[in-house]
Amino acid sequence: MISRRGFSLFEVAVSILVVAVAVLGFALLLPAALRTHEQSRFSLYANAQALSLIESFATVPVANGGLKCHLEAPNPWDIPAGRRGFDPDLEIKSSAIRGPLRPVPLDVAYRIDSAGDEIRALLDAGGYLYYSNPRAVTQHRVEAPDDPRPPNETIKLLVGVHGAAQVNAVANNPWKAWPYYQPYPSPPGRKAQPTHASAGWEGDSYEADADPDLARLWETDLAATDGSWDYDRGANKSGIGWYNWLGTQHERWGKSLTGMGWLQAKGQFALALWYAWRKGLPADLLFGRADMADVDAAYRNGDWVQAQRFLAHAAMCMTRHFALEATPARPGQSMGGVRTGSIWWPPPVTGEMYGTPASPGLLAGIAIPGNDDPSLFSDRSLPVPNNLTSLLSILPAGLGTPFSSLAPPSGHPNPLPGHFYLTHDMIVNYHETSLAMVMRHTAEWPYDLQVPRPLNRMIMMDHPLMEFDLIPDASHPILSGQIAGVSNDTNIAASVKALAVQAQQWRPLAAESFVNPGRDLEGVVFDWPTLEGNRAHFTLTQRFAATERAREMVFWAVPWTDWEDWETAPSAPVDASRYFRVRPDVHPAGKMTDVYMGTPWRDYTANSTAMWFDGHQWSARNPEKPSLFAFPVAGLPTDSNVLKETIGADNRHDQNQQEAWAHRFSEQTGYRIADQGYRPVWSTLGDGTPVSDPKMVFSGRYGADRNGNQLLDRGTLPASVRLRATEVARFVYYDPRLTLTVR
Amino acid sequence: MRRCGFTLIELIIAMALGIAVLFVATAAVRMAMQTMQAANRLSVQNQVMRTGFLLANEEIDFWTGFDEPVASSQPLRGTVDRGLGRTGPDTTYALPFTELTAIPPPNELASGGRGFAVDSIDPLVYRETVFRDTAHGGSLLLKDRQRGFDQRPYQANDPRRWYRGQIMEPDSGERKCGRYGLVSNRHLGPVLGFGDDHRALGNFSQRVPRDGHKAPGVQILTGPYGPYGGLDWDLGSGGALKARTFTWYENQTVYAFEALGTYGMFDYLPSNHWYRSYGGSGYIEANGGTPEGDYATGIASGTIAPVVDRYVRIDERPDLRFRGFITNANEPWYVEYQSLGRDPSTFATSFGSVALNDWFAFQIGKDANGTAYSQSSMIWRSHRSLAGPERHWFEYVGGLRETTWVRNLLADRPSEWPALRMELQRGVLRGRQFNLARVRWTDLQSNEEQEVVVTSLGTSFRGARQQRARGGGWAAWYAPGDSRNSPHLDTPP
Repeated sequence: MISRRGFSLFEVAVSILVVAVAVLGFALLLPAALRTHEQSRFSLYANAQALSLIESFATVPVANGGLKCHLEAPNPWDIPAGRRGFDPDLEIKSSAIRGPLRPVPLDVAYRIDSAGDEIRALLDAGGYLYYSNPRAVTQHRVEAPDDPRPPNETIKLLVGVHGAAQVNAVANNPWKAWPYYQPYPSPPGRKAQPTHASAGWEGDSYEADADPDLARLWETDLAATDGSWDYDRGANKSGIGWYNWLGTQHERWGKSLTGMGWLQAKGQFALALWYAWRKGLPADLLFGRADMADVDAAYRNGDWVQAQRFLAHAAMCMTRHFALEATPARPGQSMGGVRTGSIWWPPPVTGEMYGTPASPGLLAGIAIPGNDDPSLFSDRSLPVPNNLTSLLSILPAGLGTPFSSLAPPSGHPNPLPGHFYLTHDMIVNYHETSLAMVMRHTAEWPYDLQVPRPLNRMIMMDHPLMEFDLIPDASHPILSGQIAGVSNDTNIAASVKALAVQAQQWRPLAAESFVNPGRDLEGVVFDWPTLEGNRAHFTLTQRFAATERAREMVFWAVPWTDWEDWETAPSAPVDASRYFRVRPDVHPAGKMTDVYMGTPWRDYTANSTAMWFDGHQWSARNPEKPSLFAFPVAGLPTDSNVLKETIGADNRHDQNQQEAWAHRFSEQTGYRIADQGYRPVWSTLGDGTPVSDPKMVFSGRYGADRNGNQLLDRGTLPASVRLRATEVARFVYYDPRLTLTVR
Repeated sequence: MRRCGFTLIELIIAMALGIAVLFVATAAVRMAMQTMQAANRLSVQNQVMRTGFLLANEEIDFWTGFDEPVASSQPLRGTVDRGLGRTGPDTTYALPFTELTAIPPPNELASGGRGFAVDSIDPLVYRETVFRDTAHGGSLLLKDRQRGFDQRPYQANDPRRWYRGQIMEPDSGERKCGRYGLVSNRHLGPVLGFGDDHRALGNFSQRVPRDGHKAPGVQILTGPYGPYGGLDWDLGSGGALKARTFTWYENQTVYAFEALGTYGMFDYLPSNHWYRSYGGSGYIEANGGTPEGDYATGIASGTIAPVVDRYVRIDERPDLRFRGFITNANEPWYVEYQSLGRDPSTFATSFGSVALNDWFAFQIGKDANGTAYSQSSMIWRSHRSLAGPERHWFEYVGGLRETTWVRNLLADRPSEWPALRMELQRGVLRGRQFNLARVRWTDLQSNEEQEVVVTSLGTSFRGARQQRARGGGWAAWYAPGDSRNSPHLDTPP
């Protein structure tokens, strides 16, 4: 027997093989450990991003400040009342210009593989793949590269959203941007832009409803004699119209009360009396002696709520001109101040060149019309006292107590039978009853649109629940017709008219049928039952299971910045469903005078002066806008400084980036990119810098500084290489259907 | 034949194999070491990053950087002098973590009540309202004298909650809509009338249109309304309303602002609040005063009298600290000072409101130099605020940047661990608080700084006050009405 010592070569070989397998196996574990750490890190990023998404959903305002965000139009298809930019949609809000997500360029997104080809399926279905906005997301003005930020790895975190579309509530029906807000008390409002609360009734409100008496206040002459007393600022500029007009020509509200303001205040009060009488306002309310029982009995009547509002406003205006106690005549401008007792009267107001007559004061009562000296008004051709008298002469019929038979207050220093005496107590009573009535009225009838909602106290009930009826039926066919103003607009080419004259819109639907919807922009009284959809289709208040509306947000990690073209690739297509559209401003002659980008019937490139109202649609703009390149950068070397080529924050919003395009544009043209758009009329800036085609810039065709480092970055991988995404996290959620504000 | 040893071939093969094994083993070990090193670095970085993230969220939730409830670091409690050069009421500001009961009462309201707006007006003299709710047996429900902070009156159906000022008229308007200061004022007996307008409108006179009836440089005056404060406040038996000034709303607004800062004011007052207050803007006088001087300063200097020539205490002008900005859509270059509220077209709430003369962010936190809020002028940086249309928000962003609170974390970390830093910004935007945290660390692989940014939900300032027990430490809370609940900084006495 041969004794063996040592191993055979075969045994050694096997041993080596075993060792090699073990070593290789161990070696393979090491990258796995690295990947685990990487996964762990991106998992944390995903959680941070999820927190930011929640926060941004709550904080991203659904629109900008309201400048010309037209919310109503002659036809319901003239404005996109259901635009997605307003939707309470987490994906939409998060991918707005100030949101935490931005779309990955489509060319790049299609190069990314994922388990089950999930990303491709998402893209094929029309969805976006998003990358994380490397900048802080605080929802204030568009953030630009303020301070140089350190590298932010979260840009490699990509996000996609799965889920079906849902029907959301619409903020307002497309004819009437309800709620109209008005301060209380106030005169009736009348103008065609009901968009902004702070604009006031001389600015942007429109409440010409179907009430012929209210219309008469504005439109027609109350006194048949000369028409001096209408609310509108007619030829004679009288009544509320004149009273307001005096100070509104420049600064919205009166800083320039001139002439006989006190007299106009009287006239305004007389008009309010007339309206109150026409509406049969109960006497205790009319005479300013109401208590809560009177309010309880009267607040359901919208006419009375309105009458009390006008009355209270006119009465409050009187406190501007008349003091509590008796005052001497205030002389005209040529005289100096006077002192009576402890009160020093200031030098006269230059504008009030006619002075003010002696007054018994509001404690005793101011007579309306009073016996003011007609000679004061002679050179203004305003036979005011006569008109006041004639106006008041028609008041008694509804009161039972003719004003002509009213006795002056006992002990009044200047008793005038047949005049209405307004006192301080009455004024305050008007004011309080006005508030009490409107608060109760509007809280109880959210679907009655007669009475504007009070700015003094804004509540959820001011906003009726509305949605579109997406299921037209034979008795509720979809609304269709011609876009307003197209046929008469000579600025629109015939070829365009031929293409875009018909439009459609779903019928709006409210939880209850609207009452007193008033008139539309063209003055036609709404016949609401014939316009609304089938109320059986109303779903906003229906119960639902969370699974019916569940959506899923998927986070992946991909080193997509390794591609050579990750910054030069064009932006993903901008979602046109988010665009604001400005309603056509229909000139009385039927011609549209106000056409902006986004109107469906016009290609803005066809007209060199048509402006892109970028500032009006920031939530609809290209989400990459601050980072977009305004010029082709493909020819620049890698790591070139591209701040000058980057749009940057709007206008002068960030002094740290004055080199950016928006800032230079603003400095050199005097226009703000944000508000004035990119106007092709400029071929160069003042320094000779060429101005790019705005269409190319807006669409992001030149790419973007996507990591915000102000440098042109290029990765090492050619575009032909594919990368595989690693799934990091999934979150399931559902969106609300209403716009909510929660603090 | 018996062989001994190896053949040369065997030896060569064995050596080759051995070398190969050694090479593979060495490479494997080297790679393993590198990988382990990388893995360790990643692990450390992940831990550091996670720590920073957690600490940032913890700070967002517990506010310990501003107030340590269980330690001695409480720089934002107590009161500080307003720098008026005198003592007495209305001369201090409360710091924002001062408990509600310790916040000093305002000037003309006696002490003894509670909250940041205390009022003990004699109810026999000042009665609440003419409106008696008949559904409740005619009892008076509207208790205007109860001005201590209480969220119940903020219910929309409470008349105190209705803003009674003239919303549309600019702060410096000429009261064309009347003297709304008579129904809405900080003061029960407001002085209404000229003087204020005289000076303030002088600034605007150049913009007044010249219509042929006006001479250049016109001054616009309203004249006094009269001794309104001298009227009988009693309702009388008839129930008819006489002199009536609602003061609750105005004082809530002013004292929330003064005690808690802009940030706190947003937190405590309703989201659709009108941040405007008549009667707080002080006085105007011709010699030496400033149009935006403080009323109390005028009192102290003796230059204020109710109505004395050109020295006038003004109660009808809105408080100039409560200004927002709006622009005319047709004249975007023109900025108008006006209080703002909710935008009905966007549902954005309270996007405008408070502004001082300084255009800095309403922001809480230590400033860039680490300076605490001990200056008598502006205690909390949150007093410095700006709100308005978006065109002004670059100042806001700049202010945020200026007041970023920076904290170096993990001071006792192992030497091989990277540095970790947190930056925190708290602000109010459109009526909502936000918290922006940036966590920065040094990448051990590249030796570059890395950053993760998160805007996170967190405890509001009001919530932070309720976390803190009144006697110190953290407040305990079990259930509504539970006797074991600790009184917190907002608990009424």
